[in-house]
Amino acid sequence: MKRVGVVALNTFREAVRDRVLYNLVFFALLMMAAAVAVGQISIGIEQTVIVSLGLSAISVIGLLISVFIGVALVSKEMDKRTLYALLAKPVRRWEFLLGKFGGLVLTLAVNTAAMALGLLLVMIYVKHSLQRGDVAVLVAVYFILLKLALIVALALLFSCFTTPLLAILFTVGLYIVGLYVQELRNLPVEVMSPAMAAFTRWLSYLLPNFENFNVMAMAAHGRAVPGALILQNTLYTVIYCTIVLTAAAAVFSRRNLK
Amino acid sequence: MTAAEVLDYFARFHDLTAADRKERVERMLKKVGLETARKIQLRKYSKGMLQRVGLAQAILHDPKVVILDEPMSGLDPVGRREVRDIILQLKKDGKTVMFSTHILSDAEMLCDRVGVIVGGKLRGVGAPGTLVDMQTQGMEILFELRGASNAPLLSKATRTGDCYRLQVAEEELYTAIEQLRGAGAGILSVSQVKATLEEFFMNLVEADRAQASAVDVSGK
Repeated sequence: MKRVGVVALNTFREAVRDRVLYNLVFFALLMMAAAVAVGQISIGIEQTVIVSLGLSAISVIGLLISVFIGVALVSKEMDKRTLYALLAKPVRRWEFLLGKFGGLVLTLAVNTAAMALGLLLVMIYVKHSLQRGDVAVLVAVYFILLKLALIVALALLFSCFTTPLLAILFTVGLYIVGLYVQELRNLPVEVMSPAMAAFTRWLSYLLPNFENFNVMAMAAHGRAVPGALILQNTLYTVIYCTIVLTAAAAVFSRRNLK
Repeated sequence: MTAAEVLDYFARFHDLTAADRKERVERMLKKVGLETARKIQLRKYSKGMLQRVGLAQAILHDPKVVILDEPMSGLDPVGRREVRDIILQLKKDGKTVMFSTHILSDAEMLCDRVGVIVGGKLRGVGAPGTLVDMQTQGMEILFELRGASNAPLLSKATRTGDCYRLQVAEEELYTAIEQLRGAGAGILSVSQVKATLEEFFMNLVEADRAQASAVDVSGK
């Protein structure tokens, strides 16, 4: 695990040096502008608007980072030929992959935490205080981070066997499909053939369910997020990431790196 | 990243203490002549410097065997010399260095043992001297001659400005020198002509080509 940690810390350092965290400046500006504008245009629903806007921005920025950097994690090392020197060291391919995953998740965690702090500061500025219900905002931020970890794992898997462009398309495609998994489950199975109904049900459980992570409405209205949902989403992410990363490691281990 | 950071990163994959790691990174930077450039970003390095960083990370953990893939490829004469010196230093330190190269003169200069691969097949293994015929294949006379002359040997010589290069059989050397002096030439140097690894390689390539074209013709 030490070697995984070394790769992860290096990935984090490279991401920071690549100015990935510069998006925080954009987020800060957006939040400042929102804080000023919200006070003038939304009487009584400042909290809802601010939280919705802030969480959406955190999610979109995180999504962009996780897809574009996640896909480049392996291909960049191959293009720069640093991967060959690294794999000549006592590092297994799965350790490299896991380290890359950990490094980007760490970057996203720092990034998301900084943005969450910015959001809380704006909430304090607008409302002049924080209430107990505002904990839901932190839970929503945590769910966004879980979602981003899942996206990084998927991006890493696709980047192990296809070109960066296709890996981006596959990851984004799967993310969009994952937002509508619930609709897939709610399809009127009675009008389908039994085989089709079984296939749809099977597919809906196989695809990542990103809808589960969306508690933005709860957070915006200061409603508490059930503890069971927090546990469920955490376990779901851990298990799904483990499966995806195992598949990625299996593909990457067999890949001809010539 | 800087060279020191890259080396530190790679050193972390070996079971070294922090103090040992630091000491080795410093020692390697010095060994490959990058101690003054240690804080410069790698993207600002020349190809030779990058090659030296690559070499440094390969020998960081003090391996007994070092395998290098075309260490001199794409380098300018200075870079080649630098990498060559490092390889010679490793040899002096008792390490086994195995490398692939297309620059056969480097292999000849550095290697105790070479393997020649032509068309994907290993065609010869051994010391460079045993692979190529080390017998003298003649003598080369380098001489200077200003102005015109009708010495018969001049027609066989290769001219570069006022300098000429002439190959003669060993037994004809003294006669040739006499003739050239008689024609007013100044002898600059006399050296033995020996087959090189490159000639050995080219002979194999030409033999393969000849065989391939023979098969082609008979196939038709």
